Formats: sequence, structure tokens, C-alpha cells
Amino acid sequence: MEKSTDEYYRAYLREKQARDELEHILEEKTRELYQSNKALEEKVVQLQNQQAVLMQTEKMATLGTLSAGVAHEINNPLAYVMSNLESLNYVKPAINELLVIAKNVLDGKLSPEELKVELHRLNQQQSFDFLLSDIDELLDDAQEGLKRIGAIVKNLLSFARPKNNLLAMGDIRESLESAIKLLHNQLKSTHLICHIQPIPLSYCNLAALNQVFVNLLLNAQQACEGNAQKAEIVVELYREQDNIYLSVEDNGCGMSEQTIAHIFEPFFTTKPVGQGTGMGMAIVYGIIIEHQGLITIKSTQGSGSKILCELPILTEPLSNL
Amino acid sequence: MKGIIFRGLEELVVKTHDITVWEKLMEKHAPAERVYVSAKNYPDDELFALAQEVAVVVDKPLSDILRTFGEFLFAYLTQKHGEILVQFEDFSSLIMGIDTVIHAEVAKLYHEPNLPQIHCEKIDERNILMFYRSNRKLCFCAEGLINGAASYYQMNISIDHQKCMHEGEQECTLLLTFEEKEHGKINR
Repeated sequence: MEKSTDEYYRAYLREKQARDELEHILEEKTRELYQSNKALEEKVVQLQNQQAVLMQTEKMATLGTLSAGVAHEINNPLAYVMSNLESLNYVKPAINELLVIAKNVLDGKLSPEELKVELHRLNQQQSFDFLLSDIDELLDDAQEGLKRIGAIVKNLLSFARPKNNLLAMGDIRESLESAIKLLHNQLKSTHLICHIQPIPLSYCNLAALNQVFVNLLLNAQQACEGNAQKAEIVVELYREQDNIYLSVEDNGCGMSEQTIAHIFEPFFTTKPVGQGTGMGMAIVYGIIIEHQGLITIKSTQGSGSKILCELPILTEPLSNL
Repeated sequence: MKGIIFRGLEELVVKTHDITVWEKLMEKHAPAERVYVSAKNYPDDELFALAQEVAVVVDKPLSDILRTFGEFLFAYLTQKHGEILVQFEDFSSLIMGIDTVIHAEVAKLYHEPNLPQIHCEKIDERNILMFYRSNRKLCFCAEGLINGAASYYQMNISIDHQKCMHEGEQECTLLLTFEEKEHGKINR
């Protein structure tokens, strides 16, 4: 009986040792796994930071492309604002003189007869009728020009500002319209057809989507460059069931199957060296995926391309409310 | 509760009593096919039932059994994971590092969502005030673990369990008074 108990105990010890050894192996592997996981997590954070830097770099590169057009856009209103201010400068002596006359009347230095004489003299020098209509026009036009410059700068700022990952309920239409305004100069030789329907608010990052629209429109415009026929871009924004759809269609050069296969890869570009970062469509893809959306491409070489973005209408997460 | 704790209890019972005693405890309080493996989780009730039964077998209060088990568990864990102790230069730094170092190490090896919350305040070189909070209310086992640590670092220790969750408190408060063994008995 004692022998069998001994044997039983020895068997128990062997089994316990087996458990110990297996646990030791398991613990070593778990520790390795933990360390690898931690290293991976650090890499992910590092990659996220690098991605943010890349996005900003790409944005700055796009801004370079836009700068000539934007400068031109600003220059036009600036030219007539300056011209109007110069014209106002010409009427300044007449207004000054009117003010002096008015002051003299108030101070009792001019009699009514003298006032009449002075006003007649001044009216002959500078027609009051002309002044009345011209000053209004000059000021209105200058104000309108400055507003246009203000709007261009605002659009430019909303594009150039680093993406702050701020998700909020927003109107995607605003973002698209801002992109179209920003590209006004680039697109002026293109027949741009916009079918923009009212869409509901969605939980999104408008600054990021603005970058998507600028990139898609610029690509479409560049695809049409050198076209024999009149360049045409059709932009559509509409809602269908629970999704918002945005499409940008052009009648440009189209893409080869190989280009379509690689278009979302970082640093893939069909542009000559030194032009384009190759990050544009990779960033577009990243932003659409961040918005839980889909992006599809239809393209025929020589006929044009259609890029369709499908974005689900999202509501603000309850945890944010 | 993690299997490593069950394995510690198994080792204690087999060492101090007999393999047959452990087998009887298992037959009574664990499913038939049960084999404890450190990394796996087992029901807390199973551990409490086993500990309760040990108290009956040795005819001692459960609190004493848990203290004894805690002290033994410290030595058992040290034998398995001695490398963690290298990070501490003395008893005091180990106690102060329970939450930040030991529990962080536990998280590396075992996914244990129910670790006790332990917060320590160092009053002076000889006194630490420990606040213990856990749904399992294993404060007596914690006392045993502290005793085990003191023994490992050759310290005399006295634990004044000032407030206890078993008496309806939100958390236990333990005043640890300690000094190196060559200094003799602790004067509180």
C-alpha cells in the first residue's frame, strides 16, 4: 500500500514538474509577446505621427500648386480695391473743402450768400452729382473686393491648417464648396458642372474632407490638361438612404489598370519627378476610411475617370454627448 | 482568480499535509477534471471553498489560514518570478512598488482584471500606511504576503490592521512597522 502511495506521489511530482516546465515556457512566450506587442504599439504611434506629418507635407505641396492661382485670385480684387482707393484719394480734396466750408458756416464765418458762392464754386470744380454716385460705387466695389479676398484667405487657411482630428457634426457640402472656391482659378478653363444637393449633417472632420475634395478636383483638372476637347468636370453630392455620395467625373486622359491598382499606395505617382508627392490619393483613401466610407474608381483610358466616395451618415457618439 | 494562486495553495497543502489531503479537497470543491494551470482563470469561489476547508482540516480560523497561505505564497511566487524582486533594493521599496511595479509585471504575464487596489504612504523609514481595496476582501492573505516579504528581506514586522473591509469599511488600512532583524524586536 505504501509503495503504491509512493509511486502515486512520484507520479504527482512528475506531473507537477511538467506543469512547471510548460508554464515556464508559456510565461517566456507571453513575456516576449507582451514586449513585441508593446514595441508594435510604439511603432503604431510613431507611424500615426509620421502619417500626420506626411499629410501636412502633402497639403503644403498642394498649396504650392495652388499658390499661383490663389495669388491671381487675390490679385484681381486687390487691383480694383487699390484703384478705387486711389480714385477716392482724388475726391478727398473736394470733401475736405466741403468740410471746411461746413465748419466755417457753423463758426459763423460764412454768411448764407457766401456759402452759396463757395458751394457753386466747388460744384463746378467737382460735380456733386458725380461725387454722390461715384463714392458709393467706389466704396461698395472696394468692400466687395475685400470680402472676396477675405473668403479666399479663409478657404486657404481652412485647407492649410493642420488636420486637428476634430470630428464634429458638420455639413460636408460646406467643405466641398470651400474646395471649389479655393480652386476657382485652377478650374476656370474647365467646364465645371456641379450637382450639389442638400445633405444632412454627419459626424465628420470637415478639414480632412476639404483636403479630399481639393485633391480629387485637382487630379481631375490635371487629367484634363492637354485634352483636345473642352475639359469638363462633373461634381455630384447627394444623399441616398444612409449614405452621402460624392463623385468627381472628368473627361480627361483616364487611367490604366496598373495605375488604378496602385493609386492608393503611398508615394505612387504618374507625375514627373519633382511634381506631386505621390501621397494625394493615399491620403484621400485614409481620410475616407477614417470616415468609415468607401472609394471606388471607374476609368477608361482616353475617356476619363469617375471617383465615387461613399460616406455613411454618422451621428455623434453617445460618449461625446 | 489566476491558477498560480491555486497552485500556491496546492503546494502548501501537499508540503504541510499530504497529497491525499489535497486530493480530498479537490474532490469536494473542484470539478472532477480540474488541473490548475498558472495562466488560466478559475472561479474565486473555488479558492474560498478550498481555503475554508483547509481551515476546517487544521482547525484554525480562516483569517489565520489566509495569513499562512499569503506568507507561503510570497516564497512560492519568489521562486517562480524571482527576477521581479531584483528591481527592489529593500523591503520598503517593494511595498511602495506593489501597484506600480509588481502589478505592472503581473499584467505582462497574466490578464487579471481584478487586481486589488493598493496604495501606500511612507510615513518614515520604519512605517508605511497601506490602503487595500478588493472585491475579494483577501486582506488577511495580503498580510501574509507582507510577512513573507519581510521574512525575505530579513525584517521584523508588525502589522496593525486598523480598518478592515470585513468590518464594513470601504477599504482596509494597515500600518506596517518594520526594521532589520539585527535591531531586535520592534517597539511600537
